[in-house]
Amino acid sequence: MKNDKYNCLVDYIRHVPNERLFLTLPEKNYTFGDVLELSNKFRADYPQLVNKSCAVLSNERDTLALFLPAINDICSSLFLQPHDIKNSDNSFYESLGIEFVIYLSDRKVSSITTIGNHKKEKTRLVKNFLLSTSGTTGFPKFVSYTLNSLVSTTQKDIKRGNDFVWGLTYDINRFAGLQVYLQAIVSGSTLVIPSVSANIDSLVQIFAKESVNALSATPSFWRKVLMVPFHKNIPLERITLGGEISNQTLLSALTNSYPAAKIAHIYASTEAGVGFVVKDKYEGFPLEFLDENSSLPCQIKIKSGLLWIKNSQTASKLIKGDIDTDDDFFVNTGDLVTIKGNRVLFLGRDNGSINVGGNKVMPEKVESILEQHPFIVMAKVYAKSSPVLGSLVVSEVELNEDGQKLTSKDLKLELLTFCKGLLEPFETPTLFRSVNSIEINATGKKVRNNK
Amino acid sequence: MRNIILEKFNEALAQTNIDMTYTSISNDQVLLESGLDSLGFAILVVLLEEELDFDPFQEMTTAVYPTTFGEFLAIYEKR
Repeated sequence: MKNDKYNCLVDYIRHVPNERLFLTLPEKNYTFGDVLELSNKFRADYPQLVNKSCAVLSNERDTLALFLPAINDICSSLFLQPHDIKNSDNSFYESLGIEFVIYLSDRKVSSITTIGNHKKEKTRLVKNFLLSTSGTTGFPKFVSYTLNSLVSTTQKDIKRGNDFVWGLTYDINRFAGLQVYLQAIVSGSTLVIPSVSANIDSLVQIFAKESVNALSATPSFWRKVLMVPFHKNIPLERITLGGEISNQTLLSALTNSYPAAKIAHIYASTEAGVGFVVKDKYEGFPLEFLDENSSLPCQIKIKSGLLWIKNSQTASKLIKGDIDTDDDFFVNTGDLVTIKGNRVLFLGRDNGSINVGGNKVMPEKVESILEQHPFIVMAKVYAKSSPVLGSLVVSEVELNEDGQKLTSKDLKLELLTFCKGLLEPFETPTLFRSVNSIEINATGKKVRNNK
Repeated sequence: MRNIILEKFNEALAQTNIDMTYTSISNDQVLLESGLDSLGFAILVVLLEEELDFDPFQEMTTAVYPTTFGEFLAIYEKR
């Protein structure tokens, strides 16, 4: 179904039966009709925001989910500001062309701030969303998208959408979370949004109780889900992984736990807009994706070991920040890849490598090996400065019950023996620190910059 | 201290895939001929830091490069 004439979220919502359940929030549910009503009220209450450029700030996923269609309906541009963006003073907003800042909390508009001089601008015909990259690897970048570019690969069948209940594991003001949210809207599916503070056990409990059958999360999040004893109670039919490298161990473990589910790992970079999906339950992606005539929504190529990507719809544009683009308008993703047989495998981030005496070590590769060990739930590998060699590789490991029974000496011996043959000595961690839990940041990825 | 270093020395050898263990090391043993390469040596320093909670090489204001086991031991003992 082509819906190019749909300019805003409300256009999509209008086509879903009013009584269909849209949001399952802590303590209250909302139908598509309820959200439509709320959008009409918002339009009547805030006429000053019509065709303006607005930033939206809220610490609550549920509140944002309720108000996003309303704000998108009347504002020309909507900046989904993550709460960890600092220095958000007037000059920051002015540099992004923002005219109003809308604060939301407790499922209400709590305040609206006006930012300096308003530009006399022609009414924009196409509304846009402004998102920032996670900024985990440096200064955040700001990229603008049209709604059409954001939903270009999204399933839009409202009839089929009725069969799906999505669970939200991300923040909506991030690319990954917005994708899940938009998926629910354009296909008329239900979205279950637990409170941000819920721990992994209660998240699994809520998703099972609400019969969530479609879930999109980071590999780190999925590893934690698999550790919850009753995780198989979630009746999953669709599993999506994204944001980090999905390795074979994890894909196989998910296949074992949810044999009937379709499993897709998504490759997307905020810089390039929508990326591509791999559905064959194997890590990496097929070599034929590199063909110019592939059916992907984007073109990809490998240049000096790095993946470059070009969104065929190129509807996104960079507002602020540094994006590396070549003469053919391909964007450098900063992801290192290698070709192995008929697959292209991800090695890690270009700037994430550890230099051990002149040898480049990819933390993700070492983590992936460690995570194959039956005792290890999750591993984090990072550099430790060494006066002798510059850096050495050390690791933190989150162990399962069997692993926790070992003394640290026996554990180390076990892991070193395991790594032999799989890793070069310079890649093998010098230390294996057993930790209770490996920290995951707001975007669901392993925290990498704390050491 | 000698015994701790000896134990970690053997551990570092094992971690760099050198099939060798020492039951004792004399003070005039030349480090470069001990079987440990630069990676092994870096590993040894980290293993000792984990055990002793300090890394004398990080604390040095001027770089000292021990050549013998005796000199290496002295750096740890004199700290």
